[in-house]
Amino acid sequence: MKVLVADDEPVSRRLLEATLASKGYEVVTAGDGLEAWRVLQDTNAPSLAILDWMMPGMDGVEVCRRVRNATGLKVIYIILLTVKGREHVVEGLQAGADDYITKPFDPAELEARLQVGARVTDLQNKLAERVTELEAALSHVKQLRGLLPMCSYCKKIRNDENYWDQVENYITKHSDAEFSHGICPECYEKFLKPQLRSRQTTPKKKSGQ
Amino acid sequence: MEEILDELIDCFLDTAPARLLELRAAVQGGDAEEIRRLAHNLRGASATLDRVASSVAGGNSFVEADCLIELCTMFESACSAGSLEGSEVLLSKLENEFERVRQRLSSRRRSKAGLPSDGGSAE
Repeated sequence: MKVLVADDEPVSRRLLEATLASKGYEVVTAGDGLEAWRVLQDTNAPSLAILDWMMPGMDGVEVCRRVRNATGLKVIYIILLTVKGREHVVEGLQAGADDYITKPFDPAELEARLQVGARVTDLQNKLAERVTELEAALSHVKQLRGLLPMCSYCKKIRNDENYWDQVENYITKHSDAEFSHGICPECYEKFLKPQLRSRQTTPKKKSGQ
Repeated sequence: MEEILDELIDCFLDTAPARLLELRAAVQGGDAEEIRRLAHNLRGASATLDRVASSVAGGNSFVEADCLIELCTMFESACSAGSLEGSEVLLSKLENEFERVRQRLSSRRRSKAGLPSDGGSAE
């Protein structure tokens, strides 16, 4: 998994980079906030970002704010690195950070928190994928709903152009349903049997003539 | 971890002296915000190095950066409070302390490379 490490202080940045690389992460580094913001806007941006709070150009909190206010960016899980006190942590989380780690950091804690981040982004991505799938499916479904005016005798349905349609024509036009025609047992008795009978009797009459 | 430590020492020796020069320029120019940023930066680098060195050595860091870290912190809080009074004195203390840390790191680098550990001016 790709992770961005943004810190202007080279020793800590190198340590973060080496620690994460040894755990199998693909690490991208940035030396200041502006560079971090550029990396995160890329279509190929990492989905995890560790941002130092104090950086020249643009601080970590401002990067957070921009990421959260931008539209069309990937799902990015942001961890702020801070040496500052509790009230700053609140500011960072309100700016849109998902988590924070205090400096100097504990490697095991960092990895555990990154795993949380990976889990969260994975879930969010899966959810977004399902929503897109559902939206695509919905756009294909023709809707058949509301009050349909139907003739009580012939069962035709009045359409929007004030024209009376056969039920099957109407439903075919307004949904993805199709019809195959058959005869139910009741109608067989009522309509088809008399017809067949009359056909069988007609030739007899003819032959008798 | 020891490999990382050697890399971090190189990184510190390559970058921190320039930070210190920038800090001197900022003190001379009376730029409180810049002093604070550089002191913060130096503190971060020293604290990180100290911590890794102590975890490699089982709790006892040869870097002995406590004093350097403390001086950086003092610079930071003075700047946050808006007071640059005495910053020249603080700076020279910090420079002296930095030099001690730098020498300890350099001699470790030399001994690692199989060079004699004395002879300070060979850098």
